[in-house]
This record gives sequence, structure tokens and C-alpha cells, in this order.
Amino acid sequence: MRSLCLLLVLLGCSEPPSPAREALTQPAAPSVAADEVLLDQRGDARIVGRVEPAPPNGDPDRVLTLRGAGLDGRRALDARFVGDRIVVLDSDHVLRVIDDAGEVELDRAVEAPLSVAGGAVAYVRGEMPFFEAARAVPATGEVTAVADSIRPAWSPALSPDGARMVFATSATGRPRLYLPGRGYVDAPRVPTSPGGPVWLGDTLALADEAGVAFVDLSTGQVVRDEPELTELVATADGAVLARRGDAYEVIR
Amino acid sequence: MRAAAILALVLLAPQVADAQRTLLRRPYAESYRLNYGFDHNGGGGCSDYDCGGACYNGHTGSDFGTPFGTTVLAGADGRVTARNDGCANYGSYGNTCGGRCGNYVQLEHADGSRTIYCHMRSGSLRVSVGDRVSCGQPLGQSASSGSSTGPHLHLGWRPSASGASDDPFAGACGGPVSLWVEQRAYREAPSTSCRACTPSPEVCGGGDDDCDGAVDENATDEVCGGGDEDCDGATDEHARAELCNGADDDCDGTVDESDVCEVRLLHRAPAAYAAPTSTDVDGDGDADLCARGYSGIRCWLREGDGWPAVWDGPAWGDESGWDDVTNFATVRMADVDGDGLADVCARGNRGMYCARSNGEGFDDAALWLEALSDAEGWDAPGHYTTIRLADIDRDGDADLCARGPGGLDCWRSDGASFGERVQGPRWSDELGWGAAKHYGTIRMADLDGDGRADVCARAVAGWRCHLATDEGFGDAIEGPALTDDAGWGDRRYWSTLRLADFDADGRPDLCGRDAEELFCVRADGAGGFGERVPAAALADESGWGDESNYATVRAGDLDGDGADDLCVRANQGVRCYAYDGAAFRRIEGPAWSDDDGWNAARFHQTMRVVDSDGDRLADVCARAAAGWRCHPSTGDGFGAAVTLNEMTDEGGWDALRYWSTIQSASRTCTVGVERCDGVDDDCDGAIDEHPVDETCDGADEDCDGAIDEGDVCAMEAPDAGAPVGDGGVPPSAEPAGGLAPTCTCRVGAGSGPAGAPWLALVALLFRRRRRS
Repeated sequence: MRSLCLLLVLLGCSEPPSPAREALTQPAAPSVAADEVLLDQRGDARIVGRVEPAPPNGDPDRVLTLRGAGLDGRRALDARFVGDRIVVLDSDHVLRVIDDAGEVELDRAVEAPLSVAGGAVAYVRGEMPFFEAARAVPATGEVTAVADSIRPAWSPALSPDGARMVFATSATGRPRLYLPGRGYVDAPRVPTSPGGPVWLGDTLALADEAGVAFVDLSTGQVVRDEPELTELVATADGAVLARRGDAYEVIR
Repeated sequence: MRAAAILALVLLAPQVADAQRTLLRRPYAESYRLNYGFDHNGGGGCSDYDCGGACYNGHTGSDFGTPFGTTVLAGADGRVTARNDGCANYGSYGNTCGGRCGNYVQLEHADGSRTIYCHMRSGSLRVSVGDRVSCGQPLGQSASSGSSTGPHLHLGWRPSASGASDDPFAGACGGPVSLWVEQRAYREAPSTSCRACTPSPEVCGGGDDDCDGAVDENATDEVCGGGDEDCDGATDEHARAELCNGADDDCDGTVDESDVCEVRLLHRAPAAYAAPTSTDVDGDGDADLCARGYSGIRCWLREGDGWPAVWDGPAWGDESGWDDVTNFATVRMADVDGDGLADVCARGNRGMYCARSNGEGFDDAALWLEALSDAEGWDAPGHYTTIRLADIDRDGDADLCARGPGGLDCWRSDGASFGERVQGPRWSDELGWGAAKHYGTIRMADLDGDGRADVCARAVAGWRCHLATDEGFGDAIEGPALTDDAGWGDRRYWSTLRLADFDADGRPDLCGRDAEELFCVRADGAGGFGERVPAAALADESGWGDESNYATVRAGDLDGDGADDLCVRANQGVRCYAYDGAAFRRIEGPAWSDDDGWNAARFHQTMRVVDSDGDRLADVCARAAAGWRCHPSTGDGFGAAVTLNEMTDEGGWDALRYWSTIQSASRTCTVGVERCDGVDDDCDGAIDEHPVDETCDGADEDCDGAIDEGDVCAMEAPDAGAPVGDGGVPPSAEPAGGLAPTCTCRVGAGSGPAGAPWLALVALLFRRRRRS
């Protein structure tokens, strides 16, 4: 039975409820293969990407081969659940929305990672490195540039309600955090990991070359440092996972 | 993508015709190739400018294979419009820092176009927004910051601030017009020239005649100044420093005085007179190849049929002042810490620096001796060119020796610094040793086989050697009468002197060329020399007085017989001479002829005779315009060249400050009898192996730290045969480094005569190289 469940999970199907699972208040933290990353999780449905091998000494796109949520085999840079829809940033840098009616193109020249909250998705777009931040609402197709004079922008995160955004930028010659409408925040750590940061109340959980850190968005101070953890995932379930080795664990 | 760029160009005013475009030079000095180009395929997959597959999908720039720390140069004159500094040096696949570009510099050029240099090294950026930069000006160093799978330089180009990125390379799938000053063969690095140029030899005139982007380079020691001096006898307003050019540059009425030609010769060939004892930096037994390039020391590691790996050593680059000949001419390699790995040292302005190999790379360079500084006068060629690394105390660590104003001194290595000073021969300036014809002949080798490097040089009255002892150096031992009076003050002769064991007796002999011939003089194993043996008729009369010939004398064991053979370049090619026990026989070497340009110092002076492939046969190697090449020895000839596409002219290696620093040497070992001394005396790769019972011979056979203990001499004396010198082992039959002569008794009458030939055979078998 357990093998069957595992098979179903791998195929992106919902796992039958079990008493043990039902007792959990947080969704299970999955394990993945060493060359895979978890992109999102909603209930028992997961979107997992296998990282395609990269040539050495270059800067190719980090392309993922997706599995789960009906996306098996699709080559993409990122993919997330947004409400009852899925947004996929395909390997051609086109951001598409998938729902029961089909697929709709949302934006072009988009870069990973995506940040999803409050029914919106945040990302950066343009040409390397002078990306601008943008916000889209998949349900309506509305796309808005955010603080487009602040470039390059990277690794945006939406506030929990999806109304505000923070992103990293080197517009002033060094990496800093920027909150549109509020200004720069000087922090010793900024998000650089392929997995995006997560806005948690007053702090920003981010991953960089040194691990995972929690930065106070008011002061810029690091309030928690988790050097053993790597990529972060904010799931559609509302959980925040971080990677430790080949497994993810719930950190919030 | 290209279409988008063209559309942007059309829409933008003012339009810039291709002919008016700012052209780019290679954004670094070395010859690293294009790894991955701009993707011209609008859909999936990719197509580079030549319709090849050297790219990846959606790539909007050109990735050059620059190693970490390579100095990044401005592609053209311009102004800094953006920069970022603060991303980690090693990002990752998909890292977002700096908008994936990591640390970067963006320039705006005169035509409005922009170039961007990505993935640079944190803290290395040397320009700020608003700065004006000139073509070829250093911007910083390359690294792997941002989204990067390893060190490289991503160069992006766009026609304007708002134009889409495009490819500066022209090709069937790229643009119709190249944006490089000179685009070269497919994926090869473009030219280093900043503007279109027809190359001609560089002369002093304030111009970049040879189109290398530098003006009047090497003016003090290469081609600049050739015969265009203009002394009018009245004001001498055109007087300048004397150069070796056959002209009276300083208007003092004499030509090429003050040793200018001699010093130039020494600058060109430090590896000939201060040869590395080893360049095996990774301890695999192969001779690796090291040299100082624009950014510092770099080693190409020999393995199999090539040099597949590269190590970057200390950053003794041009930008930090190491393009000064008083520094770069002192690069030396030897094992200074006794770990069997070749290390690299050189004189900085404050003193002597070394960077030790750790087997996987070089440790940071450290100041090993705060002496030999500019402030102490060591920036004079009579001093800095005499720097040698040699083990004078038999502890396995190469020590530092050099001639200062008061004479030669050595500083013992303790594995981490050069410490205790040992006084050597007083070859002082005051006594005339400040002349190149004397200090330029300082040579070091273990003449008496005791494991200590001895020192020799040519005085006014002839060759002199001083044997190293426990306390320092002994008195002068007279050698061949290579006197000034006999003409040996001429650089055509003294510069050819080499200590090489031509007859395989384990003792370095003295070889050189006079006006008539190439010859060797046998060493007697005690610091003296005897019979002269002619090697080849290389007479001045037949043209051998030309520097491109006589300055190429090199030694190495071509045929694996344990003897050093001699090689020298004739106008038609290299000739080698091997001694067969009775006479020298000739072996034809690579056809590096004058017609092919090998009479240029930048090529023939890089000639090395080295076992590059680990087959125990020394090969003939040198730098050609297209890079490094080795012709493997077959024992009686040479095979086809094995090449390394590095150190090319195109990569800027035609400059003295680079090619003269090339180091390549097999690990050498002078065979002696293994003693309990912490040293691999018999060159078998093991130290103090096979301890045996103590015997009465002045040595510690059982490795217990005591010599001749346990009354072995008292016990054995009654059985001993005739004392040495009275029918015992003749000194000449003992192997190099043989039994200590202090003991007057022998084990038995038969053991000496029987043991000595066996040891000699061992010496021959294991001579020169030890392998791990």
C-alpha cells in the first residue's frame, strides 16, 4: 500500500488520506533526489523539478524538468500553484497560467524565481542583468511593473497578503534589499539562491551561499542563521520548507 | 535576437553605421578561447555565430574561459555606467546575485554601445561609475559570481542603453560585421589590439607598432631603440639610457657600454643559468610547466600526452608591479620545504617571497626573507640576477643564495622561511665581481657528491669553485683557466658555461663554448676539473657567435643513459650531442630554423631540455608563436611535437616579462649512498630506507643517530684489509656521495671493491629522477 502511495505521489496524484497524515497540522516535508528541487506543494500534490545538468564555466539557465501536477516532462525555470491555477515559467522565459480553460501567456522575458502570495505572483523581467521587478495577477492577467527604476532587481518576495514586495538590487553598486515605497534596507545577507525568499511578517527568510537567514526588514539585522539549510520553499499550503541535504523540513 | 538589435538600431537616433561602430579588443591579455557564444537561434536549442553549437539556449553574451583571477580589461575606451561589487565569488547554477551577472562593470562607449563584464571577483573592481577608462585598462578580475557554473568572463554587448543584446562576433549565423578590432578563427580569442593596425616591429617612437596594444613596450630590454639615437655632439638633448642596440644612446661616445647587452642576455635566460631543480608542483613525477603571465604565476600540469590542468599561483601580476624586470627576472622554482613538491619564489621589492605547493595548488605567497630589497640595492642586475635556490646543507630544502655588494651569501630554508645566513665566497663589487662576465657565471651544483650544492663562478683568472660544508663554504678550488686574458670575458663564451654531468659519473662537469668549439671538462669529484673533451665544432667563424645560437646551450639526458647531453640551436634547427664514453655523437633535434623565425629571442630563449612526459628521456621544448611545444625524445631522435595552446604570441606572451619566466624541469636528484640523514640520498624516492648494521665507516648505517657506535671500528680493525689509499678502494671508483673519507678502517678487504661497482650501477639506474 505504501509503495502504491509513493508511486501515486511521484505521478502527481493525491495520496489517499491516512490517519497519521491527518493528525499533522503541517503538510509532510518530502524528500527528493539529489538533483531535484521541490517547487511547491498543495495538499499531496507537489511540483518537483529535476535540475538539468549544466556545462562547466558558463552561465546557462537553470532549467528544470518538471513532474507532478500534470506538468510531467515540461521544461521550465519555475512553477507554482496560485489558487486553483498553476503558473509556469517555461524555459523560453514566458510566464504562463494554466487553468481548466487551458494556458494563457502572462508575460515574457521573465526570470526565476517566482514568489506567490495573495493570488499574485512576483518576478523580475528583462535582459540580464538589468531586470525590473513585476507583479501579476493570474486570475485577471494584470501585469504591473514595480519600482522599475530600481535595476537590476532579483529574488522578489511578496508580503503574505500579496500587496507589497521586497527584492534585492544592486542599483547603488552593491547588493541591498529594496522595499518599494519605503526604500533600501542594508542587510548583511540578500537572497541569491535559485529558490526565492519568503516574506514572513517582519522578517524575510532568504537563502544565499551561506545558508538560510532571517533578516529583520526594519533593521536589516540577521535575527536567525541556519547555515545547514539551503533552498526555501513557500508552499501553497502556507508552510515554509527549507532543504537539508535531500530532504525538506518545515521551518514554519 | 539579431533582428531585434537591428530594429533597435534603426529606431534609435542617431543611427550608427557599422563602419563607425566602436570596435573591441579582447577583454583580457591571455589567449583563453570562447567557451559559449551568443545564441542566434530564436527557438529551442542554440546556434553560435558560426552556426555551431558552442552556446546554450537563450544566451545573450560571450563566455570566455578566463580562470579565476584573470585581469579583465576594457574592450574599448568608454565610461563606467554601472557596477556591482558584493556578490560571492562563487555563485552557483541559477544564482540570482547581481541579476545573475554577479559582480559586474558596464561601460558606455563613444558610439553609444555598451559592454558589460559579468561574474567578476568580489573586491577586485578598480573603477567607479562615471570613471573614464581607456581601451585595455584593467577593470577588475574574473571569477564565478552570480549565476555561473565555474570561472569565466561573460561579455555582453548592446548597441545602446536600451538596445537588445547582440553578438560582437560576425559569422554565417551572426552579424555581417564583426565588432572586434580583429576577429580571429572560430572560437579563438579576438586580437588584443585596440584599433586596426598593421603590425611591424616595435620601435621607440611612442606608437604601438606591433599592434599589441602597448606602446614602446620592452623599451629597456627588447627591440626598442634600435639604431635611432640622435646624438648631435652639442647639447646631447636626445641622450637617453644606453640600450643594447649597437648605438650610442647616451651620447657618451661609446656603444652598448655598461653591460647593457650582457644584462639583456641575463634577463632573457634566467632559467638557463638559474635552472629550476624541479617544476613538479603536484608530485606526480612529471615536469609541469610554469610561468608568470599578466595576472601572475600559472602552472600547466603535465599528465599523459598533455597539460590538462591549470594552477594559478601567486598573483605576481603586472598590475601589482611584477612587470618590473628586477622582480620578474628572479622567478625561481625548487622544493624549498622538502615535501617533494616544487615551490615558486621570487624577489619582491621588500624581499624574497615564496609560495609553496600543497599538492593541490599553491598556498598564498609569503615573505620568506625580508632582505634583498630595493632599499638595500638589490634592484641592481649584478645582484638580483644572481639569485639561486639550491640545497647547501643537505636537509632536502632548497636554500636561497645570492650575490650582494659584499659577496655571495646563502640563507638556509627552514621550510617556512629563509633564516640563518651562511657566508659564501666574497665575490664583492669591490673585487670586480660587479661585472656581468663574472657574476653572470655563478652556477650551483653538488660537485663532490655530499648532497650539498656547491658554488662556482668565473673569476678574472679563471673558474673557481667553493665546496659547501657544514659551516659554510670552503676555500676556492681552481678550475680551468677560463681567464679574461684568454677572451672569456666575452659574453659569447662565458654565458654558455653550464655544470652538467656529460659522462654519467655522477659529478657535474663544466661545459661551455669558446671561439672554437663546444666542450666539457671532466670534474674530479672534489671541486676540481681535469680532461677537456670536445663536443662539437661550434666556432665563431662558422657563425656560432650569434646570440640566437650560442645562447641556446642546454643540458639534459636525452637517451636515458644517466648522462647530461648538450643541445644548441643552429640556424637550421636544434642539434644535440650525447657522449658515448669515448666521444660525442650528434642527434638532430627539432627544425627550429631562422627561416621559421626561431632566431627571435622570444622563441629560442625559451628552449628547455626536460623530461616532460615522464619517460626518463629529456625532450626538447620551447615556446613558438602558437604556444608551447615539446618534441619527445626517442633516445636517438625526436618525435612529433606535443603542443599546448598557451603562452602564444597572440596571448601576449611575446613580451619578455612573460616568456623569460618560463620554468620547466624534471625533478633531479644527485645519487649518493643512502644515509640516515632524513634525505633521499640515493634518489629512489624513499628516505633513510634499509637501515643496516653499523659498520666502521663514519656513517650511521643503522639510523640510530650515532656514528660508528658499539666499538665497530675496534672490532673490525683486525679483519680490515689495506687502509684506503694503500690498495683499498680508489677514490675514483667510489660513487658520488660515497663513503665518508674520515674513517680509516674498512669492513673487509673484499667489500669495498665489490660494493663500489654495484653502488655505481645503482647510481646510474636511479640517477637524476626519483618518482613517487
